[in-house]
Amino acid sequence: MHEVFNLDRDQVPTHWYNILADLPIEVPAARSAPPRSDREGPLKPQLPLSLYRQSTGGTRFIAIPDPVRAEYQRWRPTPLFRASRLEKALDTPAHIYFKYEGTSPSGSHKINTALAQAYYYGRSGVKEMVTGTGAGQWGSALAMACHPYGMECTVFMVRSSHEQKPYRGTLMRLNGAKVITSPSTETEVGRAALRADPDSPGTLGIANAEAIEYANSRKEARFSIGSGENHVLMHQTVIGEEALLQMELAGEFPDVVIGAMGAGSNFAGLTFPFYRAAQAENPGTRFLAVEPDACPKMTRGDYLMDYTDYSGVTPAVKMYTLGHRFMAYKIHAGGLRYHGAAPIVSAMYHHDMVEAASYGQTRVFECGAAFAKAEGFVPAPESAHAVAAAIDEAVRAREERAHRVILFGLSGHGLLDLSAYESYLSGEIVDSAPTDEEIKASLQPLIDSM
Amino acid sequence: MDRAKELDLATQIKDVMISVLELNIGREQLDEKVSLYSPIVGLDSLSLLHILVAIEKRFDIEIDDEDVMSAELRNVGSLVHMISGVIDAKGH
Repeated sequence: MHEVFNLDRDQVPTHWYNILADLPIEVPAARSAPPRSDREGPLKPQLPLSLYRQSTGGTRFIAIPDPVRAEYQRWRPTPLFRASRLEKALDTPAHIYFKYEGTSPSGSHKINTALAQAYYYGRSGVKEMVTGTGAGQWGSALAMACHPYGMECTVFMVRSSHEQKPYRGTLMRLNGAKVITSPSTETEVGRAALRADPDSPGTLGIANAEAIEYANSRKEARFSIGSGENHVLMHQTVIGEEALLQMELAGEFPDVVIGAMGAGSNFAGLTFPFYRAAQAENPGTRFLAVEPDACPKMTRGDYLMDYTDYSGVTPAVKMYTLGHRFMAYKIHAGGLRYHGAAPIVSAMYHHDMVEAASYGQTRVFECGAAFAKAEGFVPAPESAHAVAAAIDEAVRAREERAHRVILFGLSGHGLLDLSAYESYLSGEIVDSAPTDEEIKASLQPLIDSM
Repeated sequence: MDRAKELDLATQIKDVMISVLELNIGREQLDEKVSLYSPIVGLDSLSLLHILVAIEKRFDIEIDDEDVMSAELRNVGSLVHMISGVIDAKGH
């Protein structure tokens, strides 16, 4: 039995897949933030027009620029594995496969869009990229991606993650990035957040708001985002396009495709190409997004117009959200603490085209550790959410005595998260979830403003 | 670019702005000195991109990222000037 399915370098996708061309539903357009006549200085477009076209156009396949594809080829295609030892440990008739993005230089899938964005921003004459990062995967990916284009990189990293994962900060600084813990005293947004709570753990919404303010104050700097935007999801489809070919090599098509859900780029990157292929191959294929109990935007949030950053200066998008001021409890999967789900994933969920589930941290680490023991790969805490759902699917298949093909995304390695696993081994991981009242209080201002 | 062509381009660009931004005003109210942040225009990064894509369609051109990113956009005049320059450079 084959356990790893590799592709040749020349099989790195030549195109990104734009699911907007195939969706039978409408994804509501973004809405501009309210006009602010108090603004000063020139209007600075934050997004290169090329990326905006990719975000809104109806072209099914977008050619990957040669320099970006050449960068991808340094480590892509990434491997797809059959988790046969995990199957054995679970005594399940299910076949479990996982697509592993941890082989990238930054250790996660995030660099797939970081390189693409750096290419377009660099070509536009931008000299400095500024961003917010949760767990640090995106920040470290962008720091690395700026190098080929000679750009500086400044990263606002969520304080709770920076404390939990100090080596992510080290990795960014090694790559020449300036790392600022958020909330910070560098921006008005950060100072206001610290005035409200000097011990604020921060959120990705605040970090992004700080990054926007900081970028706006510097002439040749621009803000970039690595999660829920349409073009970001599209850049990540190289994962699913490769996995389609690899599942062909395995001679199977998944009955369920599972991805961890932060804002949605990891989930979308794996699942969107399978959504397209499933129309012909297996229309019954399910797509499952897995989020933490601590930040249950899909399973307990509302489908509303909301801002993508804490300060509300970004355009509003229709998404499943807990409110842009929602303060998720601290968890080790900092990359999943974002308040909203990507507009495309949200629209698909709203129309029952994808499913969602949430997991507590104890179960997530239990499954992450079981996976590491069986397969040898230590999953990032974010990726371990997908592992947990895959294990539950496999156990259900055993109970139902059903053959089932399960594919999940292992979006990154957890070798910079060993302190989190140490906490798990020491019995210190605790489950946390917002109360209904907390969610209602966070959403009420949005509902009132409609 | 001669003056007549310049004026014609400015007119067409302002028409696109009014249409894309759904402004309930006449073209003459889009004076060159009006700030892009003013309540009349209320432009932001996103609506600027909407306008540029509409311009691309209307003139059948592709605007380079660098032309947009390097522009100093403060008022209606600077936006019209930037877009006119791009259209003229593309040979229209």
